Amino acid sequence: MVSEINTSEKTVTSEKEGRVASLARRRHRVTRSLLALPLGWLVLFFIIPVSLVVAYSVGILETFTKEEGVSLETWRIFLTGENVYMLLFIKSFRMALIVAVVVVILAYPIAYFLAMIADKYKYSLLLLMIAPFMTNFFMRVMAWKVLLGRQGVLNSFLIWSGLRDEGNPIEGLAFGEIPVMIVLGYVWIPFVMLPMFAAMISMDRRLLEAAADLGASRWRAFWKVTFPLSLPGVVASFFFVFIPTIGEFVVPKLVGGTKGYMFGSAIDDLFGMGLDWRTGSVLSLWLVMAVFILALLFMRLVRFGRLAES
Amino acid sequence: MSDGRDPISRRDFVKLAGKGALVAGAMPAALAACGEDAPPETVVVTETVIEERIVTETETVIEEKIVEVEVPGEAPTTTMGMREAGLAAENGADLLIYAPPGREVPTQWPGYLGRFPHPQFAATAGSFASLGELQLGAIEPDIWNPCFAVFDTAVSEGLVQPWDTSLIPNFADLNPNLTAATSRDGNQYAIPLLYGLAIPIYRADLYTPKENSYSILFDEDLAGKVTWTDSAEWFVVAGKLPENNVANPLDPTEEELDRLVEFMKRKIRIVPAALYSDLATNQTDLATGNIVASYVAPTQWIELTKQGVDIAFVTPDEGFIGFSCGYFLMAGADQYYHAHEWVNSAVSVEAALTISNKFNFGNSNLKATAVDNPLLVDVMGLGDPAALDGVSLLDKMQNIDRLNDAWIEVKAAAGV
Repeated sequence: MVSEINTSEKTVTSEKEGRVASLARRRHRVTRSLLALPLGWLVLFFIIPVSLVVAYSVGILETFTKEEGVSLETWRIFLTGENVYMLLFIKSFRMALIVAVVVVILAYPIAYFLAMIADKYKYSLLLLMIAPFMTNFFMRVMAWKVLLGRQGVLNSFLIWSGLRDEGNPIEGLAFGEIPVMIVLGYVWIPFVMLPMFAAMISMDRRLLEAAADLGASRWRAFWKVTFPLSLPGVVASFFFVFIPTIGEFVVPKLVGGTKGYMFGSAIDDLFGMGLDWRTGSVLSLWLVMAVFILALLFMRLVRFGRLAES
Repeated sequence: MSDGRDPISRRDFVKLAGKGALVAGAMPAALAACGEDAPPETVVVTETVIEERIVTETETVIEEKIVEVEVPGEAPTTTMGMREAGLAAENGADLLIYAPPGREVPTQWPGYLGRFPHPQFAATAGSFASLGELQLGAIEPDIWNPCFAVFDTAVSEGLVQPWDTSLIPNFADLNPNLTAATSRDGNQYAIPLLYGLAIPIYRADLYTPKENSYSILFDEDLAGKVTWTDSAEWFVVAGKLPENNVANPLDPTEEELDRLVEFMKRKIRIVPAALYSDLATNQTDLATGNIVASYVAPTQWIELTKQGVDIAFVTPDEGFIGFSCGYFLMAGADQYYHAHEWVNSAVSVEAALTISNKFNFGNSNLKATAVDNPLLVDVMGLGDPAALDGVSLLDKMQNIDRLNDAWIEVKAAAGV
């Protein structure tokens, strides 16, 4: 009798285990099939193209018959600074860093205002912020040329107001590094605002109330609660600006002049007019690697910050 | 294909068909020369017939056979017969022309539409960008319309094939300097359409050149007031200056190029603005005096003169630099005969006049001199076969990829 009961219990247990196992298998299958699409996408549109670029950079793939076969020579020339492109990278890195930091600093208070203060008007105001960006990108950039040109709005105002002499406008506003950074900053601000706004709006407000209850000032509550919680949005925003800026080539072409030439401009030229896909590939891969390493560093930094906080 | 027979491409087939027709066309003439007339009602024509034999479900073998057939009417004459047979064997609607935007307007190829189906057009984004795309096989046109700084690379890489000029009656009217610059080893690889001179212009009320030379574009007194174009042809411009002592500016040696790169890196700093590709902005800057000297095609000089701007150009003692643009027949062209027909219409007198009147370029057809603007006739020497004697045509630039690389490095150095 006892053994019969044991047997039936065992049967029930094994049935249960079987069902659990089958459920787990089904879950596993669902997870795998859900993952398949993004992974496939990643392989098709990232891994394969990057592999092709690697192949071009060392001469496994060649565009023209005059090229010199498989070698790491182009990498060596670039990395040892024999050509000018490493210096150009450093310059572009500096410009991208300045633009990203300034834009994040400028956009943060706006995102804070919209998420924490604007209350029921926040989405209307957000729409207003984005409204200018419904116009064409090219037109917006060209408008800056009108504003900053030798005979542009700014110089005309300065001359009209007597701050500058007639025929002596501020040079270097129409073309160069400064206009490139101004235009890029202008272009990115509304987009940069969005991740920070999203991070702040999803924040648990009770934490702020708890901080206030525990006697924290508004500044202290911001610094100890709001800012750390919005940090992922800040980091995302920073990369949102930094990555496209370091590889930017359209804005430098329009307002950069000879002095606003950037690393992305060189990549564009090497693949386009230069027909030098090998050097272009080396520069592109370097850019990918630099951004990747920087992203990893930031991620570690943010995580480390969180750990220290806890 | 395992049976040892090579399949033939559609283009080869069309050519063979044409040759068959040519043989057929030549027969009555030979018979007549022997005193024997060909029968008037029907002619025996040898034709190359294509037959597709299915080998497997996915593989077919194309076999060619020479057969004799009787056709009513007169036999085709030599070239005409080849042309007609070739045209008949092709589907003209598939003719694909890869050209700058605007070339699709039929006034630039009059006489073609109506006789043949409307061709297809794809827009290029510059000569070098399109060269890269073609090399990668991103697009497979029949005709390609770049400027001929790419000539050496396109021919060396086997991207293009020679035109059969006997199928282009208007070819005889084209400027011999331009046709010579676009031929190699006796083969006519390109049909020139238009040309221009690269001229240094300046605001005569604001500047007086120290010498008649391209050197005004490197004059440090004009720092911040000069614009250049974004092109490797600057090595040709710099190479022409006596101080740089370059034997052949169109093909500098490695040592000469190194010197030119250093020279250009120093001089590019006098150029504040963009290396322009935007003619309108450059023109406005010249008109307002923001820019005092520039390197342009005569188009801009003509436009500014029309506006009443006090603008003049230097006739350089070193001789002018010139450029030309036109048509390549792609190596893999399917529409071989339609391509010839189309290009013949595109370099006709009527089309050439459109090019000069609408775009202010010199046209390649020596008979197309009745242009609206007399300035253009004077400056460009339209109709004069010797007008381009002594001009350094960029079509003859060698190893342009090397020069392009060097040019990008010069630009990058200016930005650092």
